[in-house]
Amino acid sequence: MRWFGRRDADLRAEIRTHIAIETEENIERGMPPEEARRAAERTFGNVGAVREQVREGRATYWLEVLVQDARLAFRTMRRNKGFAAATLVTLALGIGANTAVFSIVYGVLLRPLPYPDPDRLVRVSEGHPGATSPLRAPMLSNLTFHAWSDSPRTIEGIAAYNGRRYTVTGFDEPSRIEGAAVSAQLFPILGARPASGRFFRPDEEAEGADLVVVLSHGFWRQQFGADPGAIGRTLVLDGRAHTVVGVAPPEFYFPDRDVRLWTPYAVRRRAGPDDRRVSVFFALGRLRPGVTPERAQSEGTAAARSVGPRPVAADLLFGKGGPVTVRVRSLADETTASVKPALVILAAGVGLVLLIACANVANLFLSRGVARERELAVRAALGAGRGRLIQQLLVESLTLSLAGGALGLILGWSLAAALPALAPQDFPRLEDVHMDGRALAFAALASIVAGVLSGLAPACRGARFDLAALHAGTRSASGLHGPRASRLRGALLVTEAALAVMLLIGAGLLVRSFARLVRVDGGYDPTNVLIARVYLPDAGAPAERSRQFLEALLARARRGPGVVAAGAGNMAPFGSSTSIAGFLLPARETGDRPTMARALEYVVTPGYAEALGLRLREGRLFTEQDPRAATQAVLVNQEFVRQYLSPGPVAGRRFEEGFGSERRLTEIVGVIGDVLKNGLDTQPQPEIYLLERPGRPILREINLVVRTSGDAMGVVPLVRGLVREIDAGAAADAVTTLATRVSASVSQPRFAAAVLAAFGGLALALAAVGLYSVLSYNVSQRRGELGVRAALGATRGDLVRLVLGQGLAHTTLGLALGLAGAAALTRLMARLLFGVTPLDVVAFGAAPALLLAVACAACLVPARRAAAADPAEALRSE
Amino acid sequence: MRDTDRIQLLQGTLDMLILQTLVFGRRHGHGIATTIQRTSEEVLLVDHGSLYPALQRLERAGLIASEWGTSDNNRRARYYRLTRSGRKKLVAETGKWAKLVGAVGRVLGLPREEETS
Repeated sequence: MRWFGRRDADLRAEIRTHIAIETEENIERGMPPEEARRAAERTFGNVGAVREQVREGRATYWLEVLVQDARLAFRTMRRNKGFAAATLVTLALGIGANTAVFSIVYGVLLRPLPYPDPDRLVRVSEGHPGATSPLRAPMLSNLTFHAWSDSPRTIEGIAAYNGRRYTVTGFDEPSRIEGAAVSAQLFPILGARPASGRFFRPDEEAEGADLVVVLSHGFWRQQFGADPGAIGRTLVLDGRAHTVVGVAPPEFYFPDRDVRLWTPYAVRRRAGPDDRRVSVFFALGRLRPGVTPERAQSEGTAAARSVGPRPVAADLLFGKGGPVTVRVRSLADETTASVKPALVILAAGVGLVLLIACANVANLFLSRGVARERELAVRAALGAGRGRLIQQLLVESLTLSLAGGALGLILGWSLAAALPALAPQDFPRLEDVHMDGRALAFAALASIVAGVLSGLAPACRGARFDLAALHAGTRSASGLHGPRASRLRGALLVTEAALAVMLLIGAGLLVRSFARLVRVDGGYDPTNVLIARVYLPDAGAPAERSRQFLEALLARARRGPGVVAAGAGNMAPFGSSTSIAGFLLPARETGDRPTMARALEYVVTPGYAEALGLRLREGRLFTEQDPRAATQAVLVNQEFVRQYLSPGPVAGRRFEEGFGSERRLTEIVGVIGDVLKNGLDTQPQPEIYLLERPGRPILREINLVVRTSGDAMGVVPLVRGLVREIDAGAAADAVTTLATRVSASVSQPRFAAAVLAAFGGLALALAAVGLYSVLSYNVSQRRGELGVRAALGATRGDLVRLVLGQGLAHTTLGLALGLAGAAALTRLMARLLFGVTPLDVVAFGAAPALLLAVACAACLVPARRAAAADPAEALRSE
Repeated sequence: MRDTDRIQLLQGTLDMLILQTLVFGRRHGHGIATTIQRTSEEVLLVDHGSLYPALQRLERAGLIASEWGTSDNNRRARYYRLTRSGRKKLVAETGKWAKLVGAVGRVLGLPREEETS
């Protein structure tokens, strides 16, 4: 520390001058030079003491002492490598895990969105209170959009957008890329400026306007080689030429980073009050400054209700419930709503790990303090006050915890770097997770808190000396012995057990709920099934093209090696399209009065149900003859029967007036089990299945399903090859196995369960190490006493029981406290749980059992050491 | 003069003496020590070293200020001078001291000639 040195050097110079002047004066008085110098020094007094006094008077004195203590701490660490390593590793694990979780929580939940004034950006959606909607996410209808956005007061504007995938042709072979159709308003609302060219003009939204496209900076670099002349060139999307009008800035993205280009989206205007069609989309708004979302919400709700009677289609999309209500939520919250509960639980869990680590290190400090009692005693005897000793010990623990924090930072860094590979693909905003100054500051803060938490109590005990006892030569002179110190050790053990059991219960609940989730029957058999989405260009005669394509593709696919069944549908599990039919069911069928039925309307080819492995509950599936039969055959699912049909056999029921969008004599030929199209954690929806036929082609998205006898990945080349061969304009994407899609759909709960289970394992290990070290210490301290017991006839069993009992008493108390704590806290996890209650008996039973078993194992080694106590030892040690 | 005739300084009085010696201008540490000794007619014993913690204390309190300078015999020395608040403090302390001396003197039954106001 140069600045301490400089000031001390200053003082030394001053003192030198002083003595020199005095010496000269002494010489003038007639002393010989040597004597003059000695006299001058005598007059001055003790130079060292003066310097020390001056130093103590300095404002930075405490800092100098701190540096001194830190140096001492480093020396002590070097002398006790084992102790230092144990502390460092424990703290590095705790702080590293916390820093990594902090950077995730900050990046995903707290970092502002990368748009100007992000606080005023809101997602707007509508719904009916209490209704279940078949939509996968909250959306807005064109009814409300126009009623509100034509004259908004609380918002500056609303923009509609829908994620879309486009088939891009003209580069290599047709490829599918992620894009979005957006209102011209979107870019101004986000506050974005183009890097070159322009964004959309409002007139470009209109039907029949010139087709235009805005490119992302990345797409422009990749496909156009960052050519400034790209503006004005054409890009063929879905078979139609679009003019490139602009390029977005490099860092711009919306709604997420996968989106490579944008096309204009026109929100349909109603032709009149009789217009029965409704379109839905995502909507983004910008609040006027100072307006709360609640105020915007009430204005929006009033606008939505001003529309008057809503068309039936709106009920089909939004479900039936209370009067229509508009929801206005901050864009940031809405973006991360799916992961927030899990992140909060992970943050709490990792905090518990750090607390356990601190308790462990505190115990290490206590044991370590005993070993260096003599050193501290000498310091105390030489006049170091209690405060001074506490300070020295605290500086030591802080030095260790800061070193541990530095290690932890490296660990956290690598964890955060590995995160994109570990976390689920659909985890929002993962790209905003960085290790930056904030993470550094967090790690530093966590280190200091950990240092004080783990060091304070041991330091206070260690610095308490009974000098008289010390003088008498008793070994237990310090506060590290006796009932109060052993109570502190016990309390630390109890705390560790309690925290560990809480964490284990939390992890157990998530693991159990994940196990429940993956055991859910989605209504299909995902093993050995290949699924693919195929898109044909819109141009020409799309219906005829689609029919011919499917006929050729399915016929040839079914002849492929190992193919058991093949079919196609407009929808399939995890497909991106949703088709809903609404129709009137006659009173005869409902057993009550005519009812408006709403159902997912599947249009499928024969072979579809077999390929997916749909469960037949009643009647039969489609046959090859059905498409040519006079009577239309349809299938319904169990939920449809439950919601709409009167009791009795369903297969064979006929509908003269049609069924679904079918307008001919129709017969329900079979009932199948409910298919959870959008994921295992969703509710079953009523479904009807119609056959694909000339008047009802599968357009836009063709979901191809192929069942094989072996690994379905084996037919990927076959399917890709057939698609290319049969229609050169066709583009296939998401070619993968159904099992992969199922697994990906539960990746978030799996991630949360895995991470919390890892934290639980860490907590368990730390608690076991803590228990082991304290018991080992106790046994070594009680060697004499145990020897006496052995001499007086205690058996090995007695001694083992003695030590085990002592260790397990703390653990059991901790378990009880932990169970109570968990019972109070797990209901906060309710939103994360699936099919498991927050007070799940299995989790609440298994976690304590596991901890108890590990605690027994941790106690066993010290207990056996105690059993080996030698009666002669008793004599030697006294 | 024998050492037994010298008087060890009371804690706190040294501060006052230092302030007093600086009334007529800046001095370095050695100068202050010898001035105190000389003006007290060699009665007051100042352990020269004890000056420095006191000087630092006064400087931190803002009663004196210091800077490096060159002494009469061409040595680099740190010079101390009185600040405004130091001057005020000295006046106040001198008054208190006179009262104390008077009071102690009366208790000890000394003649009152030394009493000043």
